[in-house]
Amino acid sequence: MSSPAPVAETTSGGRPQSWAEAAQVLAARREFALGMGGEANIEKQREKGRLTPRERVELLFDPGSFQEQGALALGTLIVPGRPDRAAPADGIVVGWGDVVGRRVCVIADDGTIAAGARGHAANRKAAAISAFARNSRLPLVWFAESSVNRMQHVMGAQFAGDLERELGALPPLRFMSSGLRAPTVIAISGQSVGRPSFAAMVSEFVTLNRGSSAMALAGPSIVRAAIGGPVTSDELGGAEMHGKGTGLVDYVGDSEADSIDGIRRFLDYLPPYTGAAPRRLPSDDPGDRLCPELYDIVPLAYRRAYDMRKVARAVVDNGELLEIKGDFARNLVTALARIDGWTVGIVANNPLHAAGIVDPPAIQKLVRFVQLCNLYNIPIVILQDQPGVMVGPGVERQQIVKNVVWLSQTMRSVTTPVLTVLVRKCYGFSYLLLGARMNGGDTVVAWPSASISLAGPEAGVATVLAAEERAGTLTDERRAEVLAAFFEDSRARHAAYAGRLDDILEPEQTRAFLARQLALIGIRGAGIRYSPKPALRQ
Amino acid sequence: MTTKELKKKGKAAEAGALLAAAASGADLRYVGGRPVSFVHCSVASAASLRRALRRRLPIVAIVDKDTSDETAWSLRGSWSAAPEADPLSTVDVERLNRPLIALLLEGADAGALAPAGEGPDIVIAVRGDGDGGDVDLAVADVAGAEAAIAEALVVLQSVTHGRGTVVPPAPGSLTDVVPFELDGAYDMTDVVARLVDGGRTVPIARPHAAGVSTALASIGGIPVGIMASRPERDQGRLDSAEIRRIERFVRLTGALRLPLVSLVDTAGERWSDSADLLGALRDALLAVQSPATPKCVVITGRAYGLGAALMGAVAARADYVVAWARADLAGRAYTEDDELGPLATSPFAAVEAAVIHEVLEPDATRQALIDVLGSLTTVGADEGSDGH
Repeated sequence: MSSPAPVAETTSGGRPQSWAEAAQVLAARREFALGMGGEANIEKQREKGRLTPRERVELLFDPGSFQEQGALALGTLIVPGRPDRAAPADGIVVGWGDVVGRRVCVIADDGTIAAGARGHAANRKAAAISAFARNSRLPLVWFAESSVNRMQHVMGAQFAGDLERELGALPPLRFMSSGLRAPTVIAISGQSVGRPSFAAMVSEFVTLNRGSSAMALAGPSIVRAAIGGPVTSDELGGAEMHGKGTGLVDYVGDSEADSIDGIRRFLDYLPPYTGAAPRRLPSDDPGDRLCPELYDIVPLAYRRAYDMRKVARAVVDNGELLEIKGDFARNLVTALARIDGWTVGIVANNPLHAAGIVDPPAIQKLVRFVQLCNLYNIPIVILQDQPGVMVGPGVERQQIVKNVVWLSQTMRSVTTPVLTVLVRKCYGFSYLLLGARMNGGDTVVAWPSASISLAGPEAGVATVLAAEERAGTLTDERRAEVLAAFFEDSRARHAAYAGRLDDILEPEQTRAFLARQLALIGIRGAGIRYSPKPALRQ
Repeated sequence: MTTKELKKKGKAAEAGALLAAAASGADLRYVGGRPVSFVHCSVASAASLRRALRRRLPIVAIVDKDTSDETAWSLRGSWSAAPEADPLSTVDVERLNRPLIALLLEGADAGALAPAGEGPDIVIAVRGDGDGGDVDLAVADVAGAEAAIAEALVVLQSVTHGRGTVVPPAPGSLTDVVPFELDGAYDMTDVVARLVDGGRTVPIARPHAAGVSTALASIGGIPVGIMASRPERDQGRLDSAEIRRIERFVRLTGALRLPLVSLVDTAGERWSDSADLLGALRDALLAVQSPATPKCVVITGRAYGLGAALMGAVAARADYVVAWARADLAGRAYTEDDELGPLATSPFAAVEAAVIHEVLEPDATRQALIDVLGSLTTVGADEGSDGH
């Protein structure tokens, strides 16, 4: 492959005169398109730790299934004082293929040509494939690398003309306004500023590659000019910023291949569009498998930490979880998985981090995930073990009150089935928020280890016996006696006796129970939309 | 007789199905090996009409000179328009979504029927001259009507029952039947035969608008509506009758939820009666700009002016537009010494600007259409597409 030749050498001076000649011209042009930005630019791309768009597409789709559209498009790279050069495919690869056997559309910006900046034809191609995906209710994956317009195309008054129209036609920003829609995935594959960053905010799944890609409103040069000081693109919008700090990215891959694998798994869990139910895949992991390892994973002592992800892995098929926003708000786990072949969304407090407390970042993570599951008819399994909602001036500054109401309203509007398992601590208002019947729980069961109360027993003792403590009459015996009484009163079995829970479940039975429930849901059809649940159904 | 019993009985029930149904008012019969509800609109009671609708089978509604306008109109559209006035209003006909064929016996008034998209999907007239404006197919006798119904059902049934069997098209290369030179003559029928399954179509024929052909067919087992200009007739120019035929066919494919495949080789429109042509263009442009179903366009030769736009070449909304290397795109018909200079664009220039999706070798066209239609038809049958 050679570097892109000047336009005059690549466009046909005249028309072909026969079918045979036309076939030769077509073959040559297709070969030219495959060359992308030329060997030198491809090498530069590799030095940055990035793949070419065609390598990304090859990894995304099932072998041999990709069909490109508009490969014969051609842009022109104009730099004053230099000869014009051609932009094969106008710097963008679009088309469709199969991901785990299902049709998916793709847009892949070409970082080997003008750093991924687009020309007019590229914008038309992107708009056309997006419309195609929208009209066909097909998922769309966008490998975003720069994705801005070439400067020469947007200088001057042109900015308010062609570009405005082209951008107006571009999903996924418009995509979100559609009632029926298919998933969009934004794979941040380079230094993405502006348009792809906005698109990511309204997409179902956003990936970022550790060390080689970043997402921001503006790049380092603009930031330096505006507010001064050295800053790198990684500091502005890399894995540390968006994987851990803001949680705006759903999946941070250690490499591009890792991110693309995450995209394939994500699309495999989801139905093709919002009106459909997720498919059930045959599982070699028996649905009625017992999980005795759960007795070792979860300590009975409430103050001892454990990793809730181990509980989730024990329950789901073959221990496979696709964690969403795994590095952000780690006191809450959100993940997609399968139980007996049924797709489920797992929401679980994780006592390994901050005792699994519910704080504003956890609520933001939870709400977005629940909205995703609700939109795509994915039943939600909640594993609850949390000491309550975080309190204090820090979270008040983070608008904890508003966040709690937001979470409550979200849970009450959920129409997809919610199955709640109370594992251990279920304290405070957050007990109600996380899948209790009044907030969307269709089935609520508890392990014998579960403890339900408005406040933890220790907090209850401190409040109830505060006067005695101030008066100096509180004894250790008295404190222990009241504490024991509170512990006993908060046992889940009392809630079950009163009919407030559906059952007390042996932990090892959890998977089998959930599999049976999911089979029932499958029979009635998870894809059937129910009217929003009533606010109170106690 | 239940549908199950009828299936057991098989083709033995076929003979004379149409006339027997006409006598009994409403009946279940086999046509071409497929169960069909027959309803004679002059004889059937409201109850038997309702039963026919609930069977979820294709319906052949027989209309004769004694059929009242009200009954004929109630075949589909008037139910939703005025449900309170119709005894069948409890049946959600659109939701049932199965084909409705109207058969006009001799002397029946075609004008009594609602237009396509609101009324029957296909109107067949026995011994009619097909000039009534709403008749899709004129046949000589009842036997001819039965054959036409059987043919139509092959395609229409697959609309509600998914993909059919993939059958190879007519043998031979397209480059052997289409000359590369733009002025070279060829028969578009040969092109269609090499694109569709078995080389076979169900023509939706209207004798007075022969400059464009319209038909139902399958491509890769996917039922489609095909419309094609006929370059062998005045370079495929369209007059007002042909433009109206395009409009009606676009609406028909919308009503049947069939993807539309358009083959374009037209030098534009024929300005014989400007007022009439303008009216036809206005109505047709409205129809083609908002198709209810996916649309694929193949430019095989000239794509000039409003005629080409109507057929989806560039201006009208389409999901997939490809051209052959011999194609020539222009805003209007032109001559070599045109005062405005060169007006045409080559398909290579068009694809460079991403105005069309691809330039294809003719023999790659069928597979490309199968691939695209396979994606486009993943949408549920009750969902239309929206625009760019």
